[in-house]
Amino acid sequence: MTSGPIGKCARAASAALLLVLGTGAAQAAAAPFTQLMALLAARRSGTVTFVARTYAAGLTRPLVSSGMLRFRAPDHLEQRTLKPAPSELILNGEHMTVRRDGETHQLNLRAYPDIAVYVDALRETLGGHGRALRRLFAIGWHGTLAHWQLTLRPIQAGARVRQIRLAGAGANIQRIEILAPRGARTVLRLSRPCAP
Amino acid sequence: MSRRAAVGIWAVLAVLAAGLVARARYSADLSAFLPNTPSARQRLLVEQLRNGVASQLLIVAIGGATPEVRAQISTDLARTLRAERRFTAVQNGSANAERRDGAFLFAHRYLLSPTVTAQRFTSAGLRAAIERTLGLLAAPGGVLAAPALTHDPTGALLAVLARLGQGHAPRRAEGVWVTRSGREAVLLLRTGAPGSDTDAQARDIAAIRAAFHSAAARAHAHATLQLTGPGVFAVAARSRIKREVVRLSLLSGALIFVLLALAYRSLAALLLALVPVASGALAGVAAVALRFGVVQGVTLGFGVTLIGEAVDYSIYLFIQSRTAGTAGYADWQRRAWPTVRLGMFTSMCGFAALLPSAFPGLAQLGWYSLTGVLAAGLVTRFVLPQLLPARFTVRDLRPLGAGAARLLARLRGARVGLVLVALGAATVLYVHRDSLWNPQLAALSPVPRAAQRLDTRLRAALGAPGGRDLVVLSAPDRQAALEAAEQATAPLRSLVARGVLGGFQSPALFLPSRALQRRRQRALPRAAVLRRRLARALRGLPIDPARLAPFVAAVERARHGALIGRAALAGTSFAPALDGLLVRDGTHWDALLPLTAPAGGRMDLARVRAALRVSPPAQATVLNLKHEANRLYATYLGEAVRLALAGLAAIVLLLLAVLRSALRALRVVLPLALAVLTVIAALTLSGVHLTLLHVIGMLLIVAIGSNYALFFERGSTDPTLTLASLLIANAATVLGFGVLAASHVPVLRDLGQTVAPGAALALLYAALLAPATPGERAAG
Repeated sequence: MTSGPIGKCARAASAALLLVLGTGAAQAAAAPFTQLMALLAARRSGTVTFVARTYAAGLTRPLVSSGMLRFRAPDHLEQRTLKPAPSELILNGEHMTVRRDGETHQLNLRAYPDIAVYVDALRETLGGHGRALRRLFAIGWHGTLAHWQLTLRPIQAGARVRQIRLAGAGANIQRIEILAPRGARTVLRLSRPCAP
Repeated sequence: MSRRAAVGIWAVLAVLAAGLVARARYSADLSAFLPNTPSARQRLLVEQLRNGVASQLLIVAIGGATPEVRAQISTDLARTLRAERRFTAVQNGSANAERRDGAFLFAHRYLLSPTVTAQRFTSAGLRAAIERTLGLLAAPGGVLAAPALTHDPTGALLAVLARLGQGHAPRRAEGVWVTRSGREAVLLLRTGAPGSDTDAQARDIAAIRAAFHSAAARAHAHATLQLTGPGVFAVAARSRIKREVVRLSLLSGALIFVLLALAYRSLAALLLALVPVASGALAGVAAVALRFGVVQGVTLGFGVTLIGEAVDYSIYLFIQSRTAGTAGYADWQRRAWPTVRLGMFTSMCGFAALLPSAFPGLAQLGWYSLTGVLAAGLVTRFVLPQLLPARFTVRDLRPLGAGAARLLARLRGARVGLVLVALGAATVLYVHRDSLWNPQLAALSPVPRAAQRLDTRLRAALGAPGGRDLVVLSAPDRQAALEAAEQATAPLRSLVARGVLGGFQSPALFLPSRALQRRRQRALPRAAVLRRRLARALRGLPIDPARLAPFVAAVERARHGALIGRAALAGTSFAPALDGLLVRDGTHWDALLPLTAPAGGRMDLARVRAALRVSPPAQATVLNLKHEANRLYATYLGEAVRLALAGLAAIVLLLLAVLRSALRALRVVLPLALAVLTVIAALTLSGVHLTLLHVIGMLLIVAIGSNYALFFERGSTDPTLTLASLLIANAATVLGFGVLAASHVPVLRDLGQTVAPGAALALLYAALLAPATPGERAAG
């Protein structure tokens, strides 16, 4: 990361401003999904904090965890859980590093198709790769560019990830929801590190 | 013997032999190159190479088109092949197949999981396991394990999966397995037939090709198909050997035909010359069929050389008996036949030495040639003269003999040069003494290099163990073998943890011994007890004990349910795996644990051996199949050398007995030894590393060359004509073996490139070293 969180927030704000100015004018012709992808593609990297809530049958209350999510184009993604127990999922291309319980595993992402679905959904969205998303997922779009929701349903038969839902405002992704079978799901709420 | 009787017996025998030849079974697979062996460890090795799991695996790679189309073809192909029920396993990484495996593991998780101990099912043990599971759920991607929470809160299944080593799973794209580069979709098939059943393998391969072509046609794509695996090699080798045998027979037949046509200038003589050759070939094949049951294709390949050898006898008869009609042949039979007969016997001694060989191909070659030469010789002596038309005669070849004699006379001055040749050859062999031999069994393999490379690449892509490094646990019965595999698990796991091993497979991971399954059953508490302990364990955790009823029910089922047997594996990929990893070997059972090398590292089998301990009567053996195969090959190379020496000794003894003089015997053997020395030195100089077949070739140089040397040693009443006949006979032999030298099948090529120059040199040296050559006496 070359710039601090303040600089990043300033950039995000100006992006939002551009967005507001831009809507209704020249970009009106393009589909909102394509516009969103263009916006996201323009952002090469970003770091957010997350609070994740996991719901599943048998749990009397959701499991809460929190940490940091970081992306750097084209294909670096890391999810660091800090609480309640530290664990890391780091991706560089197809190379996956998992740290948990003091053990480090170096793995090939493609050997873990379920995690690959989640990673692909996140990376291709953050990178603004609309075409790749269309190849991997059936895409549903709701709302406007200023307030959108994207539903990604894996095309590949047999995927255990039922659906991944992303919601955001412009280039800011605010919510990620992963739906697993039998009602199990995790909801990540994202916020910028500098948020009040 | 009356004229009619000889011809009559010959005709009857020929018809009988033809019947045998027509009904014989022919096999052109690789088993001719796989030795039969007595030692238990070696039998296991050969059995693995012939019929083991590794021998039944076929890897299919689909290239071309786009990734989506390749995946579509892969799925389509897998569906077709599964429906055909030809293969015991068809795996392409599809989700369906994985679901069946997953369902089996899930259903039997409490009998399979190493976490099932009494300690784990105490309140404290349950709490620790459940806390760990909750931690996992909260980790990135952990939600995918969440649906199983109420059924498996302690993570029993995860421990099973971790042991099965999913980390070595192949890459996937578009829902199917792909190679490392992602440019090909790959499927792993296991044939129902053993790898040594080449006919079945050929049918299976044809089925794959057909299914692929229709799948590609349905996808409207230009995709390519590549296949590899021992079965593919065997089938390719067979068709190559078949092609070669036909091609070489035709070629060498045509060349010898041209040679004889030039020599005889008589169609009748040409056709008559075929009589002993055809009789010999017929007798040889019939004899092999009678003795071995199956005729190896490669034997027929070697047999091409018999054409060159058997035609010699009629050459001697036609050329040497110059007086036309019965008187001429009677004269030849009196003068020349004893020499020809002795030559025939020395040849037979050489071939007989191959009979005890543990390589079926060599034993058959010996038997085929021995009977073939004998038949050809007898037919020449007793039958051929009766078939010759009255006044039959061939062109007078004295001018050829005289010309050769003049040339020899000139060369004799340079006889001393032979000493230099001998010294030079000996020096070459001494200098290269460390690299003379090719130590690899693969040197005999007819599988081309490119095919071997493709095989390595696709195997790596699938993470399929190369089948090269194995732990073999032998025990009196199935259960004891599984228990031995269980004992080996802990030491092997610690080797994996220390990076000595990359991983290992074991049948006990998906089929624990009955003893272990029972121990696990006993470790599971009764439902009421489990509920009580759970209530205590879950205090303060975000789990409602009442929601864990599926878990309690599953434990109860496992406590009372049937143990996992072979039948429970049906329909999963574990069933074929079990067949390969738990095998019956005569009276006992072997559990095979294939090892994977650590990433980027080499396998240190000594450390594996040191770490492994199993309790008697089970025994652990750690093998590297390639290394063992090479070691086995080394013992057969040693055997070939011993056989060759024994054949040589038999020839020398025969000569001593007949010639009744050590000096005369030495005169026969010396030029042959020199020819062998020269050929081996020349091969070494040209970068050839000697194999078993070169050794056999050396023996044949002596066995065949002795024919020529004997003529010089015993002298002749018509030396010019004798020399001419030797030239033609030698040319025929050299052509026969020379054609073999051009073969693409290594065993045929090695033999040809030794014997062809060796036979030519044997004649030259014998002529030069003869005290006074018959040709010279004539010329002088």
